[in-house]
Amino acid sequence: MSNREIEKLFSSLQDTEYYIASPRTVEYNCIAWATGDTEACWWPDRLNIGYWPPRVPRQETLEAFIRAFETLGYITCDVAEYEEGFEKIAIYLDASGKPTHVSRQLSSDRWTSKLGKLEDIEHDFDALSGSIYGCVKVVMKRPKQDGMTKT
Amino acid sequence: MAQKNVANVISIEERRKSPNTQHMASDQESLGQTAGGEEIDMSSVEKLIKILDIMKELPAYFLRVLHSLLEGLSLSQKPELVERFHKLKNEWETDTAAHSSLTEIAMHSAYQQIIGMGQVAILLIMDEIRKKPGHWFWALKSITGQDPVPPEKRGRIKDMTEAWLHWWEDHMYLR
Repeated sequence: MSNREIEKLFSSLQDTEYYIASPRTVEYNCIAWATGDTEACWWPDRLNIGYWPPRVPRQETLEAFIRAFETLGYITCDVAEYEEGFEKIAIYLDASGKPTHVSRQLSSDRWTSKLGKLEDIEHDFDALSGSIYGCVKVVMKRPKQDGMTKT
Repeated sequence: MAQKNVANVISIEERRKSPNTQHMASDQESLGQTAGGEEIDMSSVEKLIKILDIMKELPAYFLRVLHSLLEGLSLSQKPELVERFHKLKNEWETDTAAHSSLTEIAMHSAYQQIIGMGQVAILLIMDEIRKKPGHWFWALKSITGQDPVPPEKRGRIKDMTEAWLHWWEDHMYLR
């Protein structure tokens, strides 16, 4: 998908610096990408199609998403700013409070997102807010993992 | 004449399998004629016998492929269904391209209409996933009531696609 087409979907990207970092694929989604997994789609759907961590409720709620990331060592935090030694994720919710998207922090100003079935992009914090993903409601962090090198 | 020849071939085939050598000798003497004394082309009979042998060993897979081809043929006679499927698929793919929620993806109205197409959609979906993996699992599960994907493969699109294609190969002939 071209930048122009992506901006049609996410108009808030128009005035920011972002770039496409991968080819499009359906093999993983934003949650998986945020965790560093490029081989599965994570989602707590009712029909058990998506991967979801064992012992975390398969519910499309913020609580279930927080618990899913807690299984990976994340805890909720108040600030999205970069903290040395930590990696952060941001959970987007729509107007009804349902989780829609998760981004992962790369460095002080930069975040990475897998856009659904499309490409991964590198973007500014909160640059994907809008009608599709809603906006960031929760940020979580964990100590930097050695194995977490995918960008 | 054709019926007589087939009867003869079957009779020869039965006797050919018998361990009784007397039968074989008798066969050799009578091979050139039908019961009514009509002459038959022996090379054609041998070819037919070989074909019968091969047919007995044909794997069920061949029958499945045949069944699939017949279903494809029946679909080709209903181009409006194929066209409808592709129109709905394109609409669904465009509208849900940026979505990560598998629920949102599956609840899209075009996707739900594809599910509503029932068995016809299965054949078209199988054609699709053979070419390009996609989020068709919700539809496949909903239409068939089956889930060939083992729990440890959940979310892994390549593995899930493979599991469904295997399921399809095993079940399409039985439906």
